Amino acid sequence: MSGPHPLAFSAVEALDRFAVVITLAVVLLVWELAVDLAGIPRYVLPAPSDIWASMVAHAGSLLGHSWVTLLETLAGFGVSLAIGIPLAVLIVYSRIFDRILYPILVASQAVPKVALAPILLVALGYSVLPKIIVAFLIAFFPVVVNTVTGLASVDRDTLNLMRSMGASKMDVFLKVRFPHAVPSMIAGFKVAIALAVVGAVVGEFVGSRSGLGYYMLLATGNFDTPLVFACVVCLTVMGIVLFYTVGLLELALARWNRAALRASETAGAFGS
Amino acid sequence: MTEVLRLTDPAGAAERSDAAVSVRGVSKHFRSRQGDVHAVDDVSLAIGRGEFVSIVGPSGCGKSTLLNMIAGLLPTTEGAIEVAGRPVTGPVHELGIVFQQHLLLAWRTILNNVLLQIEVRRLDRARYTERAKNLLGRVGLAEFADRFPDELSGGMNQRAAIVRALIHDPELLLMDEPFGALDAITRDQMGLDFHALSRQEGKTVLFITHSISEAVFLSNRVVVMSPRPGRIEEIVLVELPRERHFAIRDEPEFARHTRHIRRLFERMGVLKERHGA
Repeated sequence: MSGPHPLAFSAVEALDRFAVVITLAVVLLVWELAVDLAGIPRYVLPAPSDIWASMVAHAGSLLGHSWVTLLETLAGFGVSLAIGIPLAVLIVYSRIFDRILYPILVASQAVPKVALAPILLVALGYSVLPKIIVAFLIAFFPVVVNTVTGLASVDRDTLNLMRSMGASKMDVFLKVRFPHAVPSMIAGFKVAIALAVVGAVVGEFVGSRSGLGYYMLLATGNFDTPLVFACVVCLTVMGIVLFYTVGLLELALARWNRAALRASETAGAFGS
Repeated sequence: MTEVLRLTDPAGAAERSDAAVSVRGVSKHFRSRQGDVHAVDDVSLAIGRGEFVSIVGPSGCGKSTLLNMIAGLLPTTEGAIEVAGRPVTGPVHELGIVFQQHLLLAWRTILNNVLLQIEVRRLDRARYTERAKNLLGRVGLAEFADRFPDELSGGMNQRAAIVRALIHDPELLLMDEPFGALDAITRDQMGLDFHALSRQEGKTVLFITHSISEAVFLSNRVVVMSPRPGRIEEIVLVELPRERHFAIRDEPEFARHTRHIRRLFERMGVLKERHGA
């Protein structure tokens, strides 16, 4: 191995990270003071301290509703992988799927998935299922597109070389196409997991009895703006944690996939 | 000169029964958006076992197309090709190929890249690991077997690609401008080392290049191709000792061959003197 370990931070990088924390602290401080000095009512814009107090006071409920939203997100993301990856393989290997299904799939992106949420509510009721479906619909596209791109972008001479060795289609897939596609796929997963959170919350907005989306609507109805902000904080933390978890997957794969390692190096430790 | 004439004679070439590669009246047309492209025109060529034959020609003369047709990776439009006496109808597995790019897989170590050839062919990995290490040692990569391609230089990666082409001990090596992406000094060293290695291993080599001196330096015979549609302009028998050293390049014989080929290209209009000179 040459060069530093990817997880090792140099002094400059450490300062870089520190700068982010300092900036955030300054923003929060200015926010706090501005609300205080200008006398802005709490139900319009609560101060960070109010939001924090609300989070502590409602910790149990917030955790419970976060759990529901997290499960919906993960289920939607999981389904998008389970359907998206095999479909991408079909698109790459089948002329019919490539010529007919792929253009339809791309065109279908013009449909605002969020607008489908009320229809799903009518069809499926207040269960978690419509939320999972919205999360899936919204996360599915980056999974398919990035997997197709990764699988299809293998150099033609590499494929010729494999043919001359007498490689079977399975050999080419397992030994060349799939490992080659991993960095591109993970980049797609990162986008997908962030979108899945959005899908789950929108599903909850439209109609539900639990989850952070539901809890936010409830708090809004009560003019409990600090609690609304507390929900937003929970969603943000969830999004960051999920995004970084996928980023960690990338680093784990980088141990055997040098291409993924290079991709993560050029895009920062966890990409963006 | 009679020898050269005999070897350029398509009928004579076709009759050589000991040929490792036999190409008879092969043409290739591509259909493209610009219309029909005539890439290769009526090429006949026989390569004897153990011979080192280079094809030299300008860019786009169809020399790579010819190599791909011999490898069975591209169908011919007209004519027939035989490798080791068997007609080529699909990819030929009894050979090793090296392309201009090393095409090593980024996620495999050098050793595992070499052994990809063994895995795909369902050969005994343990048995060939020994041979792989031996060959890597002979090309100066003994200490780099467990490194990844992005940790090595272009020349080192290309050496590994050559070992990958040799690992299963094929009789025929097809080299498609293998040193074209390397700097001039690395290229000279690679040429000399590869020549020695292929002689030691007793391989038949078809070597494509656009360098006249590289072709003369390495080969028993140099096939000179015309611009598109590529046809064989002349086959030059290189009358130099079998052992090749850098000093050969200073010999009058070497200069005579490169001059002869350069003049062929001048006559075809591929090489032009400066206007007014």
